[in-house]
Amino acid sequence: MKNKFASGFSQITLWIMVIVSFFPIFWLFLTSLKTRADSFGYPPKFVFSPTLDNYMKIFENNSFLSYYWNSIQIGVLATLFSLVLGVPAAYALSRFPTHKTDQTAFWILSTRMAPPIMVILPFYLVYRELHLLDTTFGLVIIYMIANMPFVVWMVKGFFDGIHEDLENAARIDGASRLKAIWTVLLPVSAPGIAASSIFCFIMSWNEFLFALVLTGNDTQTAPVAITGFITFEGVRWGEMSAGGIMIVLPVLLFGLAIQKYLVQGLTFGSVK
Amino acid sequence: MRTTEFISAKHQGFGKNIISLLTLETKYTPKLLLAPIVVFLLCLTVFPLLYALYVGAHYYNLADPLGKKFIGIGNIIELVNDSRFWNGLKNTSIFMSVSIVFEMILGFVLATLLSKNFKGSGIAKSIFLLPTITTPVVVGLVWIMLYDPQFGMINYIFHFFGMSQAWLSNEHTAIWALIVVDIWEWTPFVALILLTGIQSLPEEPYEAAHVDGATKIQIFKNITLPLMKQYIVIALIFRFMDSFRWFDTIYVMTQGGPGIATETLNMYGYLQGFKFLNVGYAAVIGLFMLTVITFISQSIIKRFLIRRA
Repeated sequence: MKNKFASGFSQITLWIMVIVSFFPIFWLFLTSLKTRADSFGYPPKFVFSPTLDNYMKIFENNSFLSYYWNSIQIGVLATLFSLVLGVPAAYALSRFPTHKTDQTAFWILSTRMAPPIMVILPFYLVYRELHLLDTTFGLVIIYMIANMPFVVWMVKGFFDGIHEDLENAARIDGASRLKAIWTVLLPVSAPGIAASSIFCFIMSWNEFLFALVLTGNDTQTAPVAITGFITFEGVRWGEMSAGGIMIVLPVLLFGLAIQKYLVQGLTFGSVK
Repeated sequence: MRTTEFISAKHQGFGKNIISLLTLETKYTPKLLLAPIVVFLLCLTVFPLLYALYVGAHYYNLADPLGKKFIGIGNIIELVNDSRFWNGLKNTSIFMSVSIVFEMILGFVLATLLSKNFKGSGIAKSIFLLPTITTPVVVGLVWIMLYDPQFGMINYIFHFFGMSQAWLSNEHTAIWALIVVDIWEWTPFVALILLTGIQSLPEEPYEAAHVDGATKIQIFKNITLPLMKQYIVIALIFRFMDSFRWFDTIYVMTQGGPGIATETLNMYGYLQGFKFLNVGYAAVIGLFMLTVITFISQSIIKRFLIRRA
């Protein structure tokens, strides 16, 4: 009897925490469907007649779309480049382990410790000289560098899980190492690499400080652009929310698709 | 194998060499594959460090047409006498300590609840990922609406208790309001790390403890905590590093205000570097942060991980 009571209490606590986690995002979604009058209703309104007006306004507003497009472009390019460089490195760390591997591991971890202000400052100053400020290329480079540790560590984890014999079999049949990687290892580890790329895309998509400092009018990403809504159009909650939903939508969809790997990625594989 | 490769490559000339390099059949393969990432990691670690040391030793304001001037430790002396720097350090410490303590406690509770595998735990786990992956800027935006003094949901709830507040523009409440957001955003992350730990716990010690008639508190203190140490440390390290660099949500919600009430070190460094264009001084703030974070995470790692080994 006592146990049943305790279990009921635990379940209720759990679901209260679920609701608290979920509510703010849900509220953003509701607000994005409200008319201006409804969004400023008091007490806050849960029941109202939904409208897509806010989304229409966002889509008619060309600048938001172009910022959105910037974000997509930069995210995709940064992901591609970090894969191209990160996957080979992951292969090397996985297949040729040395006593230095642990040191490299700590080094990779330490990149996340560096205070962003200290990282961004030299890049800003160098970019200023090279006229790379406010260019897609400039932001892609820094995202690629920032994402690489994640890619290497995640992909290495997936490679570690695939036995070397699989490639060796192909090599005994006369395939070169490159061919064995290309025809055997990569297809087998494709799901893992896909998860890593999605993770990488989410990281670039969500990033704010680098984008704030290094972009200007031409290359602003969506998260930077939406802060403009707050200062100049802060009273228009509906449109702001519609923009917010548009920004989090891909992240939530992708994130749920790879949820199994998310914590692993966020902790550089230290939690599997 | 290696020698034959080497000899055959030597005999068959340059073209073969290139081909064996391209098909990854040489002894240089690991180096070849690692070289790019090593270069890039140097860009991310050593280059900024050296550059920050260099710039930090100069008076360097981008708006000043006279350019930079070497002043040695001048910036450090200024830093020590800068009350705004100490304010930032104070705010950062409050942020970090309060939010991490709450995140660890709530995270442990949450992980324990999730480990009981109630009906719907799977869905609950998915929902708990939402705060962690939501774009931080959007998180700020949502909470601005929730905290709104006139129309916000939070004041609507608090007005029943007669405790309505302008949460974000009151200098006494703003920092706590931001801490709540951080706790909301990261508790699930901590919980999911700890959950992995709980699921890896062996059953035997618990059975033995039951037989010996240990109390729940004794079991928790003497069995669960030691076995979970590794996961607790991982969660701690990541939360330390990330809350130390927390920027996006603060920037969106308060920009460090009202006044300097929520200005963290990171925020102050940003303002010095990119608003006041005082890049030399900002570099010194960055260096200070690097020293602190290295010291803290090293001492956590040494104390908990290495002693265990």
